[in-house]
Amino acid sequence: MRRGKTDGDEPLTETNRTAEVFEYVSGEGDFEAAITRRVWTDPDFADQCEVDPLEALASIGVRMRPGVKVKIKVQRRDTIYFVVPPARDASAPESGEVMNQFDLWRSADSFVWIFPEDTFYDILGMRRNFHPASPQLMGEADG
Amino acid sequence: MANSEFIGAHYRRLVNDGEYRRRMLADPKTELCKEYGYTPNAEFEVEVIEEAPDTVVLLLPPPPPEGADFEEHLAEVTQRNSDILFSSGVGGFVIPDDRLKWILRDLRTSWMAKEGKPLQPRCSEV
Repeated sequence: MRRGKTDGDEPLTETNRTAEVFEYVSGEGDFEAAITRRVWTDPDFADQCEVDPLEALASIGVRMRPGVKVKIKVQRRDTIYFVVPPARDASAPESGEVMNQFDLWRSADSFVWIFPEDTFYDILGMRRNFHPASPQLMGEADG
Repeated sequence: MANSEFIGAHYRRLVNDGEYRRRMLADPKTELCKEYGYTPNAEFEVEVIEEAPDTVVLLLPPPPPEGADFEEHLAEVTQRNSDILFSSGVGGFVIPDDRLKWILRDLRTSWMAKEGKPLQPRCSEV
């Protein structure tokens, strides 16, 4: 992926479109700030985040590894969110596991991520790709 | 059985019992209040966030309250990240607003009583 600013006369290919998007969002500094600003100010984008999150992310230059699903919700101040562990696979034996538990109070003042450990590197990569200081570091990963 | 063992047992039921999980997903407020023996007397909603081994969930902060400075608020709430990274699973509650705090605590107090483990009165009340 190109990281430089695109020339306005260049045809809009996938490559320079993504680069342009990157320029736009990286001005924000962080992925969390960029997506939150869009959601707060652009109702169509907010709807798309709920209905087709992968497409919404792609529109701001973020592509998830195939197989990784994303859910995006905007917290409501009148709603308690009850987070439940993954359902048992029908073929697996019943789980008697001791469940770890958490409470996150006054979460409206926070950007909350809930993610499986398998996606640890995806999230780190996503955050780095947004950060203005990251391109040199991430360059080789883009092929 | 430890005092709070029924809490873990409830999560295990949600993991293992597909029919119960479906009911919880379909009408979480009713089902949770039923489980906790709680009659709601305040306005609030309950939504279930399902963990899955292949799914990343983002819970964005709600838009700034009236009168707040947009840019300041945006920076404040998006720099404060809460990362909940689970292996086989973690159960819990995300409580956006301070008003909801005592609703959840009332729910739990009711649950303790229903399970035959009522909170002990404070010393001064004994």
